[in-house]
Amino acid sequence: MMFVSTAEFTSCCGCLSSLLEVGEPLVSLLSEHSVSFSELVDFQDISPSDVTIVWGCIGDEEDERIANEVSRMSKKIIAAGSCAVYGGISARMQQLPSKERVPSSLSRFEPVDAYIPVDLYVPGCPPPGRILFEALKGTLEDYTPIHYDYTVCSECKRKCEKKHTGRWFKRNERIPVEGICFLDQGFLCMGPVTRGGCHASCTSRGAACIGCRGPSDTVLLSHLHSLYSDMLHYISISTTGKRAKPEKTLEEYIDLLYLFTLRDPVTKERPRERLPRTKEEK
Amino acid sequence: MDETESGRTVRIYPLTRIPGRADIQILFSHNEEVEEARFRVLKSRKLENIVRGMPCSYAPLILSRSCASCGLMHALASSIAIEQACGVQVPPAAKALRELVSSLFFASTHITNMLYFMLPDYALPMSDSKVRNVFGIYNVEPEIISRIARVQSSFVKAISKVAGKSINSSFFIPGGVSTGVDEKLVSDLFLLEGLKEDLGEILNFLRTLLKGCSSVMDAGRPLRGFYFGVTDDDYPSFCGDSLTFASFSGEEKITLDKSHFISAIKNTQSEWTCAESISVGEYAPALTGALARANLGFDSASFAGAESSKCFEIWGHPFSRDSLSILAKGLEVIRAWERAIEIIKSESIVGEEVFVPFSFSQGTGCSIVESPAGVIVHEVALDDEGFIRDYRIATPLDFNYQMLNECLSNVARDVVSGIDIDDKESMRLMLCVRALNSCMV
Repeated sequence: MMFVSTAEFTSCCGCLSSLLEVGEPLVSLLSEHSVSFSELVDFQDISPSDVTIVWGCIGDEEDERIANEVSRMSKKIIAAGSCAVYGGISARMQQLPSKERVPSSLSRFEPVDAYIPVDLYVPGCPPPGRILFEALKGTLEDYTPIHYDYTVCSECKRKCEKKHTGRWFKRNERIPVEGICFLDQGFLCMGPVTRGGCHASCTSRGAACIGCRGPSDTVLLSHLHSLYSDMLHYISISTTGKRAKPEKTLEEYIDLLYLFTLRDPVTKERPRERLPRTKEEK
Repeated sequence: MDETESGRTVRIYPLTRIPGRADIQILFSHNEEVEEARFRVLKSRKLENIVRGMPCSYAPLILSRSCASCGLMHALASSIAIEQACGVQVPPAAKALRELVSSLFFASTHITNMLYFMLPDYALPMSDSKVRNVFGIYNVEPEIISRIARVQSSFVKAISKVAGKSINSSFFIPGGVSTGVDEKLVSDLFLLEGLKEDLGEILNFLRTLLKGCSSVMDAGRPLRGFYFGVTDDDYPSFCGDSLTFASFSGEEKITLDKSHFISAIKNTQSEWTCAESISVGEYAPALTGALARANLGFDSASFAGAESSKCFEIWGHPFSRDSLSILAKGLEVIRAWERAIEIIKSESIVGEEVFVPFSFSQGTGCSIVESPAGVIVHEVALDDEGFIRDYRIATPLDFNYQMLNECLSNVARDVVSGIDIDDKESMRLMLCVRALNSCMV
């Protein structure tokens, strides 16, 4: 029997909900072990644990205090969700003046590994429950969970001919054709730069990928570690027309491109990365 | 524990089996009698602050991440507000698909909330805190937990099939939904029909628990004030045309149209929490959420309506105890399932057109929709290029804040016997929070 725990920082609790959707396999697995502290049980005093899943970004001093305590007490830490891994959507709060933050003590919005060491990253907003469950089970049972080193495009069943005309559309302007790649049709889709494992759940149901699983390995291992650069490269090689420069197009979508990462993709070295423009710069 | 001139303050922190971070402060007089109990939300990200200046099409994507318990409904509310600002009419098939996915989402969210957060209070009320959780129940009654989890899984799969993702889906977009459904998918959804027996059994289980739970049921005083919800033809609805208020004391129902409701809203910022408190005209305190909707009543010809009547015979109408919230959720799961089946059978979801292209225009929009935790309001102001000038959200917690604190104070006066608060006392106080508000992030 091992000790398992969960800790929540600044989040929407979507990662917890995603894990809970696993249902009976989760309840059965955790019944075989002991939950030492968690929002699922009535004791949250941080105590020794073999595995701790953390979700949410570090938003304030209390989060930092809990993170340090968790790190001290836990043998292994799994960072689950885009907020814990990259800062996530919450990280955009960094760009707001403190008077617009509630409470104003929320000021950091950093990924968890900015404060404590992390053993396993499970990005996603939220990560699919089965991936989160496998990460937990693998860590408990000492096997390596699947590493999703491919992109969303690898799982997407839309036909892609890389024949983009260079003309771009916003989603409100027209209806995408079913079965054809969004990018080929002139809709921005982040599938080529986003980690797979989600079964392309959005593109299979008519919505372009917004990159919630974070940058793919290709981006992280590339020279610039840059979503912008890799996306630009992909669009450049797949565009047949010359109507518009892709740089100009991507400028318009910069908020969307960095919705879950803000600026720092996931490598420990904190690579150089193109920063989204601040409100003042716009 | 803090000591001040006026008395002592005891803090219960962290609260467990709730999403989000919060605490309860209990204020004692010098002779150690409870004066007041306060529920304090310690964190609220207010994501609406970050969408200002962004293209409005990002708002549903971002705001669905405000809170997982209500996420999909925030996406819907945001989409409707933008549609109103731009003067967009959504095709009928898109409306039906929105209602279908919303129904499934309500059912799934309520079951998750009941199973993992609320059930231990009723199934193991006298147990040690170390085993008072879903795993503790599973060890003694694995069949019922398996059954509930199976039902939950069926709803999650159905949402994923239609909307792609069950949490933070991009399915609801301004102008309609991202894609339609084909006959194959509809025939897959018919499998949900087989859940009727399971749902009935789960409700029976809840009723049995409540009957044997006098320690939980008898604490505090009956709720006073009002309950309200979005309604259509007098019945609770996800995004109906009006809002209906009724009094816990049993006076006649009052129906407001949406514009009257919005103009009656008054925000108050509390000094001791980061949450806002919203009151609606003279209807204060007022409760929104599952308990309120169950009290407003379901169509008596429906399965949920018939089951509700049986419950009202036992516990009276309206449900006026916080502890009956779990039963209200159970009834609403049945109603949501039933509505989903009605929509699937009606074939109104099968249609070519599920999205209308449109241009952004300068304007303002407001939407009022129900979420599992209660009424949410989104108000947006757009510039002529579709960028967001202003965005405001009112959440169920904002509406429930006054009622929750009154109820909490009453429970505290009833169960807390001194400044050394024991496990059972704190459990009962936390149950009040879990019952009257399931979202606080």
